[in-house]
Amino acid sequence: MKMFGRKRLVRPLSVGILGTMIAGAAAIGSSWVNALAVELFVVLLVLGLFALAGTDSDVGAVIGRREDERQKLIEARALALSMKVMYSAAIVCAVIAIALKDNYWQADVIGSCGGLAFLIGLRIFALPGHVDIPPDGDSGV
Amino acid sequence: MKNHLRDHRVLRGLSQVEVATGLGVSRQTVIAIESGRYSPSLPLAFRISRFFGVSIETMFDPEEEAYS
Repeated sequence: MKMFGRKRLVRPLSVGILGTMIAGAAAIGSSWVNALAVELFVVLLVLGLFALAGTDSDVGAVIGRREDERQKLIEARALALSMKVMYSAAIVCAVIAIALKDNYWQADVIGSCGGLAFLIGLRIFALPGHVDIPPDGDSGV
Repeated sequence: MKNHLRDHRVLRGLSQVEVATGLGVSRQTVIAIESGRYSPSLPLAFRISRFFGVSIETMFDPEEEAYS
């Protein structure tokens, strides 16, 4: 299977761009030293992901974006798990922030976006509720 | 769902890589199907049957669980 296509670059480059944005924010809001440290970490992460994307494995196929149907299922399950953990962490952060009378609006944003995305996902992927079923109850399946 | 992918592959003297290439899936997926850890989708099941020139009932046995 081809492991050196352009698709192999997509995920490492995406991480690189997002990481560089964080480094840029660190340069503006913190210091150049912190920004350079973040960028160095991002470069190492990008190189690691690029190397991993070239391996002949399920992980390599997912990161290198050359998944077959089983690997897409693995990716979807891993993504669902990560989203559940991220959402739970956001809720825990919000609970702690409220208890400490602190203002943690990021948890509100993550919670709202996650909840909204879930509802949109249900709307997109679920079958509509008004599917006609014959009177005898036999759906024909 | 039990399948006879391994039997048909060995019978034809094909490697897992050759089967994977012919089916357009990864070697890992062929291994997963052969070991019964993954039941392929209907389109892939038909592709497998056609690849080996047998009926889908010959290749897959829905009555038997792979790990019963």
